[in-house]
Amino acid sequence: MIIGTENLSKYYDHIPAIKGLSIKIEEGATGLLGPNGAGKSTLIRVLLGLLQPSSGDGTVLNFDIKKEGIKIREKIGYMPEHDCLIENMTAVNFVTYMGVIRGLPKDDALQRAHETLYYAGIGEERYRKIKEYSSGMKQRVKLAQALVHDPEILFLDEPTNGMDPFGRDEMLVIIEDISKKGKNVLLSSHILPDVEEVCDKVILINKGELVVEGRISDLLENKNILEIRVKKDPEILLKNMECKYEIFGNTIKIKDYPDNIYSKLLKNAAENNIQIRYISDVRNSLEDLFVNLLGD
Amino acid sequence: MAIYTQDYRKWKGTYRKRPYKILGIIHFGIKRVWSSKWVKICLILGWIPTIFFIVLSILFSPFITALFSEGMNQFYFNFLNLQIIWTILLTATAGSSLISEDIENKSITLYYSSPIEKIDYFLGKFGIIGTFISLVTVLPSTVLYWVLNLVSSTPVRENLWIWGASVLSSFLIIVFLGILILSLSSLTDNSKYVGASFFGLIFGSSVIAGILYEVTNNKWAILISLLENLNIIMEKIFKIALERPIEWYYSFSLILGMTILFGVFSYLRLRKLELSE
Repeated sequence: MIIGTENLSKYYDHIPAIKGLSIKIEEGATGLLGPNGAGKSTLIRVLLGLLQPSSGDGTVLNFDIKKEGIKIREKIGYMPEHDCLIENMTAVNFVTYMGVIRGLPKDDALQRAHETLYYAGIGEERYRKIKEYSSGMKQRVKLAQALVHDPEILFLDEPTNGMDPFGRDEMLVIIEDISKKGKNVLLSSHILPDVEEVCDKVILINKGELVVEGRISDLLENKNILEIRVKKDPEILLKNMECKYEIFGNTIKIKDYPDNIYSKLLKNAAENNIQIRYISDVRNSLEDLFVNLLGD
Repeated sequence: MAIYTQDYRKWKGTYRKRPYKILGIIHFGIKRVWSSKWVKICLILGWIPTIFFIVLSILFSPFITALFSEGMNQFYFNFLNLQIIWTILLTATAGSSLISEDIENKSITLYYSSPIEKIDYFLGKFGIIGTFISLVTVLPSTVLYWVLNLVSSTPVRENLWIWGASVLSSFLIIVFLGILILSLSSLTDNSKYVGASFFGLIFGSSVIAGILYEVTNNKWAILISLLENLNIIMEKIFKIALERPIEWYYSFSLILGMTILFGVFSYLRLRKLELSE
């Protein structure tokens, strides 16, 4: 376990941002999901040791979040969601500077700055001032600064924000590569396919409380949906069938269906003269899980 | 020569301690502030009086006698009083953006997510402005003191306290003006507002004190002027015997209280900034 919390709560003037959160994050890449205001940012700040929890305990790499903030931050690379770069500096100077304030000797910081910028996909542009960069390039610099001190855990907050599709793909490949190279990644993103692509575990929080946590493969298992589109009378097609379903116009979504559903459907369709235009076993996605668990 | 590939490499080494990181903030901050032409202009202006006195003293030895006619302590007191003008200009140009720019860029998040405390960030920023202020206070007064001593062959032992008084007065100016500009800089993301409010506080307080004193003839009105309070304390440090309507310790208490107040305010403000990010 690299991160663990036990009944962790954080209140702002009696308003709860996190309520009795108990989570365990194992090594690897984990997605942190939740709607706006769910408490993700507060959780990250508490884990970084920047905010004292109102109650409960927590550890990051076995360091106490209440007492050992500096030791925790030494081992964590944080890539914030919003712009945070010093615009008047060149990328290489900026990342070197970040390396120095995280405790790297100056020469090492400079070398690491070149390496991490190059790794993040910033080539010769690293000698240009950051204010001249596109938003995609800024995201890469943000990733490089998070990596410069070779942290054990990376907190990535919306890393593909503002990136074009190619840039987004490249960023995800880099994050996946970092994860494969032994870095632990905590990825907070609204783009659920990104999380699904990179992470193997997920934590979903809402209103400061844990909704679900676990391996993505386990969470999506046995939750497949059968999607059927008919020309008309969708309800008649489901006559005498015991299953949970939802109807959207001429589209039917059947959840947790029995194995012999295909034969029953075809029989009903033949008997009632209903034209089935499309039938497919739709794999449940994180997006579906998100919607199902949090409602609308 | 190492062959570089676009691959991630681990770093093997030991992280440095907190003082090194604070020095890092100071080092990079000085480099950034130094790139401003206005800062360079203020520094050049700040050194003109020193160079003027040194050159004339070397070329015309009677000049030193004229300089010290009212006593060495009076001369160095006047010199530091003159330096305050450049100090105020330099503090405004070099210090206005120190925190406000981080607020504007939102880079304060990156400092806070680094293995440093908020106080380290503040000390680093203070180190930057302190270094620049010392370049027009401690350094020129020290250079001037030792060069004039060498030229005039004045016995050092008897007058060494004057150099100490210059350093102490410079320290007072550095701490007060440094903390003042940092607390103002933590208030907004616009460094122009910071500079304007700094000038407003420094010069505005003197103007208001002057008007109030003229109108009411109340001696306590002097306490409103920040510059006058600094002057009164410096007079005490340099053992200048002037008839003042109020005792020096009132000014000292006020300046000390304001310094603490601005320091605490800055700290609270920096805490709030993190929460509101």
